[in-house]
Amino acid sequence: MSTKLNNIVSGNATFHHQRHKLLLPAWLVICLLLVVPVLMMLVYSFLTKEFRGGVIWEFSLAAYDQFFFDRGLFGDEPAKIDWTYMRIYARSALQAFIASVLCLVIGFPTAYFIATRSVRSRPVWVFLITIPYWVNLLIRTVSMKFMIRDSGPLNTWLLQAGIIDQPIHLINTNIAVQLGLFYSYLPFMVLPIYASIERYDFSLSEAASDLYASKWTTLRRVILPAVKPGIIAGCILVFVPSLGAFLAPDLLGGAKNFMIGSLIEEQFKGNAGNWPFGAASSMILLAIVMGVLLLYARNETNAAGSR
Amino acid sequence: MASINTNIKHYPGFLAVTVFCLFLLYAPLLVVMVYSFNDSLSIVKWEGFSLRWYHDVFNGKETAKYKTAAWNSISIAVMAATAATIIATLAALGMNRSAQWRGKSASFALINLPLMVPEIVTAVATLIFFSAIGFKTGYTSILIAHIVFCIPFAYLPISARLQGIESSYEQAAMDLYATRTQAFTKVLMPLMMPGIISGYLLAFIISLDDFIITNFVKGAGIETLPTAIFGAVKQGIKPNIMAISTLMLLVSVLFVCISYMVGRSGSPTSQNSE
Amino acid sequence: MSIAVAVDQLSKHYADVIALNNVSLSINDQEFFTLLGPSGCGKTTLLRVIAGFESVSSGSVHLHGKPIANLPANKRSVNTVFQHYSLFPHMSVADNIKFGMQMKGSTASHIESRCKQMLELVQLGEFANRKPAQLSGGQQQRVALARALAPEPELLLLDEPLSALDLKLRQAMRLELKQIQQETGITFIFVTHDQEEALTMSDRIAVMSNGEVQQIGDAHTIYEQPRNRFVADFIGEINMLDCEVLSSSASTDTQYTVACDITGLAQLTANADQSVTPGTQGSLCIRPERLQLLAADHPDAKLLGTVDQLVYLGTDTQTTVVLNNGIKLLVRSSNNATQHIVAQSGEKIGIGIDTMAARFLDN
Repeated sequence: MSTKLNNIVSGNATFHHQRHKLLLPAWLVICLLLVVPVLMMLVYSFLTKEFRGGVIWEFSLAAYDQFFFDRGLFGDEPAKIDWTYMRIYARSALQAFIASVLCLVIGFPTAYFIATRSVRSRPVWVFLITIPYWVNLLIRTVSMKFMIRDSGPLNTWLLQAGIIDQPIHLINTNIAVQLGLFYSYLPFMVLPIYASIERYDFSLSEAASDLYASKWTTLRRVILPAVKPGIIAGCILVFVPSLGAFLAPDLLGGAKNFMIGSLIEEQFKGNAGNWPFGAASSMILLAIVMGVLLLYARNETNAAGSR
Repeated sequence: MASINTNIKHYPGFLAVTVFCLFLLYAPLLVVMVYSFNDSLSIVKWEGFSLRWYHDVFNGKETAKYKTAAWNSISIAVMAATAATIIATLAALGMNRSAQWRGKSASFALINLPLMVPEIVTAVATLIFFSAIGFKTGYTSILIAHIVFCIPFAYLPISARLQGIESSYEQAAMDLYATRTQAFTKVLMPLMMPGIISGYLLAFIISLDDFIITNFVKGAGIETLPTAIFGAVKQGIKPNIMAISTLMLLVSVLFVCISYMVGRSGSPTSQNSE
Repeated sequence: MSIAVAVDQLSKHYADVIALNNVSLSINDQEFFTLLGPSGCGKTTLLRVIAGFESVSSGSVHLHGKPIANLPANKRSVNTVFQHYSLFPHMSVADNIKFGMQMKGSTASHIESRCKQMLELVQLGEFANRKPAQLSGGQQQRVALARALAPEPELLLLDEPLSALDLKLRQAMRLELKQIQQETGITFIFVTHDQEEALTMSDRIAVMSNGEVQQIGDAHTIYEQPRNRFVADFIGEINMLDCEVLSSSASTDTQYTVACDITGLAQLTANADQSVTPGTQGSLCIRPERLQLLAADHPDAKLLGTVDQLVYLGTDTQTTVVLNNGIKLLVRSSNNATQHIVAQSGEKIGIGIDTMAARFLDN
């Protein structure tokens, strides 16, 4: 009741009349140049492909059919479920999942460590974590590629240190892709968790310790549940872009470690592509991402409601 | 003397993980920076310090190509960031300085939509859009696409700043005989400035860095720096790429530093903390 | 004495919330007028309506005879000291003070001299070039006051300006505010939820609750002759005993004496603002400091009870007495009084009541 009144008071009519019209340019630009294009993409996914790229304006389910079913070389055999593309999606999801877990394992202690620094030094640590994020993703991926080459610095160091006696072959493996994804999106994991832990009331830890909990029990039973929203947000921020990533799989994974991004990109490259199939693949990716985000949003509202 | 740390906040090993995390983030970048000064035709062996690859970037046989690409990147980033910042500033005012109205949360979602849609999907949709309406892909199509995805990046710092500015400042100004316009130009605008600058710089970097969307909508015959570098890297990493990368990296770091400094200057809420 | 502000039948609704309900009051020129009430009572809304930050749903506001309810804030010769001061953080102290005069279009020489004068008034001369963030809370408060006074408004509004300060500073600022008000001769409307603040500074106080004015009067009247149970209860501490009226008669032109029966205990007399029909149920209200502890067999003992609890408060001792019908009564006795009785918990005790100290209020 009182918050309602406050809302009304803070947005009172004398001062804020018609201000929402200022949103018009943003509305227009994003609707016209993002929402409309996505809808067009949906339309394109139901059209017939033109062999030199582009489409023929004829309704067709061929793109989705190709995604899910195999009808033989000439398209006249009975439909069998075709796992080729779904396997690419599943592999991408698995890669994105592993990247999220790795980022969490490294990101949580880092975020926790930063959040427990003095108020003065915290921004500096956060800044250190943010800088790599603002460096061009392409350059970072290239750097990673350079780093883990068979004759690259990583192998040189390990050889010199005597840890290995044969260079490890990483380039063009799943592990390289994994490393690239992990490296690309690590800051996304640290920042939201950091924000949660910074708000965490450490007297709760004291209370737990007072009630005979060990440090690690306190972490598991008190701190982790309290900062769960930050952890979930971090996982989503890593998972979603990893799922549709293009640069890491393309530069580090090579042809054998195809992910969704490369699959889609290929459909629009030169004359060999298949626009309706690319549009359909994009729609499916978008649907998965929106599903994840919706789940997250519902979880958030529920959590807010029960608080 | 080794003693058990009794600090309730302390967990053993977390410092080590943090250092490891920073090492992971920085090592590849530092390695590239160091090797960009390598006096060698090959990238494998270290043969001493030299600026030859920087010299090659500015005076080599590929200079013209990278110069054009850099010009395209920078001019697009300037224009896209400017447009996105104006749109985002207006939107932030609309969101934070208006009464509760239906569609406010929908507007928020819409502004942040470019962040939620995977980049590759945005790229595909934009390409299809331009192709469907018969818009010739090239410089303009890149610019238009960049404006769209820069909006949320410009919006977030501006909006965060605006949220920290109580509406009582504008009321105080009007109480002291300022007109609505004067209250905006003399009070709200100066207070918002750090947020606007941060927003602009971040939008600029985001535009400068974009590869995927640019790669889709650029059409043939035009390159930005990232697409030019990508094309070159596909042929193998050459030392001059590392020099260009180092330069771009420094530009990004410089911009983020400026944005960080500006963002930290004089928070408007600090004076109320009694 | 002329009227500075006249508020007539003012109402303000937000969707389904009534913030102000048919409020009427008039404030004299050069008066220190306080709006007092609990949070959500409508006092801040009333202030913001007068300032021009809120539109009215119905009713009118006149400033020195001119209607202002539909005038925007920047066209009203009314200035506000905001609760959190709202000093412009990007401007120096001097620029903050000059702002209003600049907007009004005063001449540069006037602005300079007036700014200097204001800085002297609030004793911040050497801080002219500082930024607000570099000042302490008390100093910011003074700058806010100087900024609002500088354009020489017809009326100054103060929205709980002392609430952000610590106790000592708050007490010092009360005196300073009152002094500045007397020096400048500007009408002040002061909003607070702190009764002590209201009682110490104000010429007159309007007690508000639920969007309505409950009582207007000077500090003495409000405290000694509350008009209803809300006012009696909100200002200070008070004992309320359920009673039934036996008879009432006029004691002066405006005051009545009422004889009441406190069921099963005693018959007492109380004063009232109007004649009351016998048989009316109501409350007999007595301030704790108007009661005395007496020996149980003392002839002046009007009520009898048992001492329950003693709380030592420094200047006073507060004693809780349980009356014979189980009702608890607070008695506050000064610790320097020679006739002071040291009661013991569990002791039977008598209670004396000052003549005409009790007040009858109907339910």
